[in-house]
Amino acid sequence: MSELRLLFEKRGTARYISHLDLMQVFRRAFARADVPLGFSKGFHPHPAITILLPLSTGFESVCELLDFELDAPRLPDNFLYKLNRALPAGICVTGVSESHTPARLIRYAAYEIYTEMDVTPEALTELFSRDALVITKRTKRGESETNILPLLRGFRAEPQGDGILIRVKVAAGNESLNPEYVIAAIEKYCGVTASYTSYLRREVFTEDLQVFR
Amino acid sequence: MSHLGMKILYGLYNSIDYCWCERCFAPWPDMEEELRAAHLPLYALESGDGLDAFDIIAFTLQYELSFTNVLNMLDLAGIPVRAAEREGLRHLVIAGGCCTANPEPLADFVDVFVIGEGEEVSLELFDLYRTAKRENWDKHRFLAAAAQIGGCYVPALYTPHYDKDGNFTGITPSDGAPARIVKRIVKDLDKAYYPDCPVVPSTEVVHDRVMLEVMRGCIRGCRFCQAGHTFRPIREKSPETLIRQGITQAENTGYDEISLTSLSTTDYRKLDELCDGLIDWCAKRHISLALPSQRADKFSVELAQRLEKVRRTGLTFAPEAGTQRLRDVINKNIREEDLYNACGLAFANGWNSVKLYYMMGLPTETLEDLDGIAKIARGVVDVWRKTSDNRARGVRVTASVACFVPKPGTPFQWEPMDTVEQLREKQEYMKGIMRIKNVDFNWHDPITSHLEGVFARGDRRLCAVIYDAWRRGCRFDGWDDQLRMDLWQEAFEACGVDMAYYANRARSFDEALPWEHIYNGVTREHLMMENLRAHSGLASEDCRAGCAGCGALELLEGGICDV
Repeated sequence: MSELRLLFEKRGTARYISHLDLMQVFRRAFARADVPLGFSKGFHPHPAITILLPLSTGFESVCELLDFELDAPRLPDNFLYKLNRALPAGICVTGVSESHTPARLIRYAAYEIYTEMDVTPEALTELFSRDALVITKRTKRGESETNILPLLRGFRAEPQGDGILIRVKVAAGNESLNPEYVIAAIEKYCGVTASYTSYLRREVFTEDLQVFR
Repeated sequence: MSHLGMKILYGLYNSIDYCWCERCFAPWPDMEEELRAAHLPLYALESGDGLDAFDIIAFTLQYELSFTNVLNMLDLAGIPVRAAEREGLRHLVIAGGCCTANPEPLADFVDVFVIGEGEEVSLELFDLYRTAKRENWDKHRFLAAAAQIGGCYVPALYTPHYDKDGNFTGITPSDGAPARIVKRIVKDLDKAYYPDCPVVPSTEVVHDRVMLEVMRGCIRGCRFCQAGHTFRPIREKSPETLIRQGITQAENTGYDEISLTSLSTTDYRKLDELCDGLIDWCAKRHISLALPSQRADKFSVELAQRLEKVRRTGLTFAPEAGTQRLRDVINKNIREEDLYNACGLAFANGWNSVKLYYMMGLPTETLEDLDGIAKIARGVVDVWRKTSDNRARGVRVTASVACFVPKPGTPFQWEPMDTVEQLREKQEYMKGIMRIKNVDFNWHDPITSHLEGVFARGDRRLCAVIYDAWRRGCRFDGWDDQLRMDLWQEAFEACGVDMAYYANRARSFDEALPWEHIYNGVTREHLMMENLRAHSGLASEDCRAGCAGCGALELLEGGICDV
């Protein structure tokens, strides 16, 4: 039994499939594609599927990673074609490889945030060059005042259509920051409210900002 | 999404060249708010087209408390809710499902009710619709022709009559519509359409699994059970058909569970053969095979263990009443010993939780019958003490007690329902006696059951109440957090309709009943006889032990019931 890693996109209406539902979607897609999965041992065996970095429901992504155990000597011919045909619209597997790097090495995720609000890209660039941006962050242990700047890398903002496109890397994995706090910080410091925001995860990185696979 | 009938008809309609069928579900109030704010029509899920773009809108009526949702969905689509206000052939509203045992409370809103199983009759109706559309018929001509199709009930062609005291006295058809609408059935289930590839939702829904329908109808004749009387005659599918359909659906959907569904699957004659044919195929693929509920007198550890090869599921039994006397009254022929034996076998083989389903408010019920529910719960815990192989793990006995609602088409259709006050009193009593170690007691506020009881045996005077309540804001009435009993009360008062008249009144056998022109195959004489036997405390045999001549055999037109 070998452990393999899928690279897949989650776009369009598939963004509304939650993390837990997505595991089920993949389990069923593997079954429909007739690709045998390894199962956990024990009283309630479940398929060995792990999504490395859960994505918030409603976010899109072009860089999702999923590890699975294959209960066969090798992948069937046309594996990607068969699996993609079995997946719902919006979810598309773009690559498969051996799974050799552990998920704990993921440290950053790059997002494109498109937002419509009454503020200029220049004002945002100025805002994110300050020394500290403190927002109220909700955690399992309650609320805490957090400076989000140490959790961000490479903030850029430019006009796009009726709004602003922000490109930013946020901490991911162990000590992480939900990119919604980037918008929350802008709303707090600029005194504006976003009328529309969408999130797209572009890439995941290691500590030294190398692409993680 | 979990309704089997919808999966069958959706697949069937889309297999017809000229037919394109999409799904639509009632949106939750937050979505409704957004749709109305954005002036968007309620839309079908596949194309996103508004419902107003469709020729025919078909509802499945599974529960009386979803009636306001029917009106609300039409309104959200910009379609007039009253049938009389919909002119021409566009937006024909049809409805089927178990609530058509008494469709009268929706008579003002639905153009055609389809009585019984829809596989054949709806295609006949669609054919007629195509002709009517091609030849530019007016709506009345179409409806009059539709009423000639067996199983099609066109309420606009019938006029109800009431006496000076406001009691229903009968209903007369016009335009050549039949005096009695006879339910349609599919005679040979092995030849009937069954979907190869039902829609698989990407988000979690209830009963999300392969549903393998092993038979229709039920041999038992429990007197409270509407499906048990209105789904007759009994027809089984062959194991060969079922094995083929089960494997095909599992392969095409990727589901990890196959449920063997019917009203009483342990009565399926070739259950062993069916399980033999599926279980190895399933086990290899980590697919579990499940029986939704089992009869305590037919419980087999061997079967249960085979079913749980992949995953252990809980055990559920439905004794329905707490004493043998009351079980005889309702014809639930399960003895206390059967239940204890079944539980003992299960506990000895490692199970440690049992769910027991009951009803309160059954005809002739006394406090002694309620005490019996507690006594059985204690008895099951005692059985566990004597039989469990692992006492340290503990045991969980769950007793759920629902409120009995007399339903049309059953031997109890003449019975008064307990009032809300009576049911609440009984619940308070139950809460006291059900404080038992290792036993959970579940109950539900009787107010929803009360409303269900009103509509179940209602007549056309309730159409105005439903319309009024919907206009006041009632929807999703079956959901405790959405039910607005205050608005319903206002609606009943505004329309001058008395809830107790429908729910809590005993009917005499001489009385005309507002739903008796809908014929589900079981004769009035059989229902009356069963009612009399109930009041004499006499149980009746099941259909296999002795045919009671209920009448359903006639629907097979020369065929034989339950072969």
